[in-house]
Amino acid sequence: MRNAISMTALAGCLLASSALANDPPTFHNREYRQITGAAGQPARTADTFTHANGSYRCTNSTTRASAHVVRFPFTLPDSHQVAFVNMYGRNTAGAPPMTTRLMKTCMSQDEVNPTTTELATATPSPNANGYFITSMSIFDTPQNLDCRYWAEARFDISTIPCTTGTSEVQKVFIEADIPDRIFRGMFNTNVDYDLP
Amino acid sequence: MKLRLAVATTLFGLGLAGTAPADPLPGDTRIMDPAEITALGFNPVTDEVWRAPTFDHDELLAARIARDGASPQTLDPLVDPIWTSVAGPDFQFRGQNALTTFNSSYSVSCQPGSPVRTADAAIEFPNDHRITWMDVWAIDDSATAGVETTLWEICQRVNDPDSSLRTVVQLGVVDTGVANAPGPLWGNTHVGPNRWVHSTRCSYMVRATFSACEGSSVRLQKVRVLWDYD
Repeated sequence: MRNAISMTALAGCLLASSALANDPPTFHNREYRQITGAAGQPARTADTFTHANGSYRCTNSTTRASAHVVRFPFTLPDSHQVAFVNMYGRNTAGAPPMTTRLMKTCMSQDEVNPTTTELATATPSPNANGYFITSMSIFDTPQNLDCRYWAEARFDISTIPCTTGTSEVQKVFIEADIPDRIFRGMFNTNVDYDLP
Repeated sequence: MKLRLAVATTLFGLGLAGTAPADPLPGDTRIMDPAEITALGFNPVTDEVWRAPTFDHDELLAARIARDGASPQTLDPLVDPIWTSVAGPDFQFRGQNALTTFNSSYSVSCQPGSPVRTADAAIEFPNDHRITWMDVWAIDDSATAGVETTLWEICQRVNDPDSSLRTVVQLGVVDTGVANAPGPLWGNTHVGPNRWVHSTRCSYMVRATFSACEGSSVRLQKVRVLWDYD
């Protein structure tokens, strides 16, 4: 009997692993978006950069008072709720201090000046090799009629230039919830097929 | 005891499924030459770089063309694939000292003398769909230069604090050719079966690599990537 239970459980394990082989277990009503680091937009023409391994890498070789800022604008459908915005990157020991922020700027039809809000901020905690993931949690409902969202990384180059270490953003990972998930995606098993 | 073992095995299996980086498919070729990996813009120390095989898509392309002029302009989600496009202004050259032009026809080109010949554009797909075609619109009026358009998948483990090891797969290539001048070109490639979108751990980008910077004689106008459902 125990053998039967064990085998059944093992079969279930294999089945579950097979069904989930393409993606990790997720909340059924959560959607994921990835923005590659190379999509980053520098805030100033003096914010010098390059693309390395699909990442956005700061290359300012001299110090200055204003930070090097790179922005990643994004839009989510109105029905989504932003849950987490995670930034993957690298900030090695010799690199300038870095912070990440999630921003929202809004301007309705009868406003003259936009209202810009800092929704969340985080300071990376790099590992020994400098790699980090920051997670910013907000649970904010997008107001696409009046507002625009972006994630940004700020490299403080007031005393340390970027080129003394490695300062880069690999990607921005957005997790958003859908209040009313219907079927698509929920029962997905990623069934492979053959083409001619 | 065995039940505990089975439960532990189940959890372990789910755990593996949850943390494994995306794998290249059978038939993909790993690029082992560090110089080539570096030339492609990746890091031979931290990035496993793979190249998908060229897929013989002639039969599928004939079916597309026979169906509706090969262009899914009439949206029917039950029949037609869905797509994402990037145009010239979406591309950003790899390095600020690039000399570029984004002209009024929304194409991108690199200007003579530019030290940078590679431009990237982020592209996004919904999770759990299969990428199928990459369509490229370009103009190549030069017999000495061309533009190669490639689609890339860059994956790393979810929520792994050491995100240093990444798996990179070049999913498809459309090249206008260096030694010929095809003029306006609609090129395409099928990335092969079962290229699932993994939006939990992978990001995607389109890369334009100009073989030489000859200004407006070689321009990339638009790239469209299609996908389908189960």
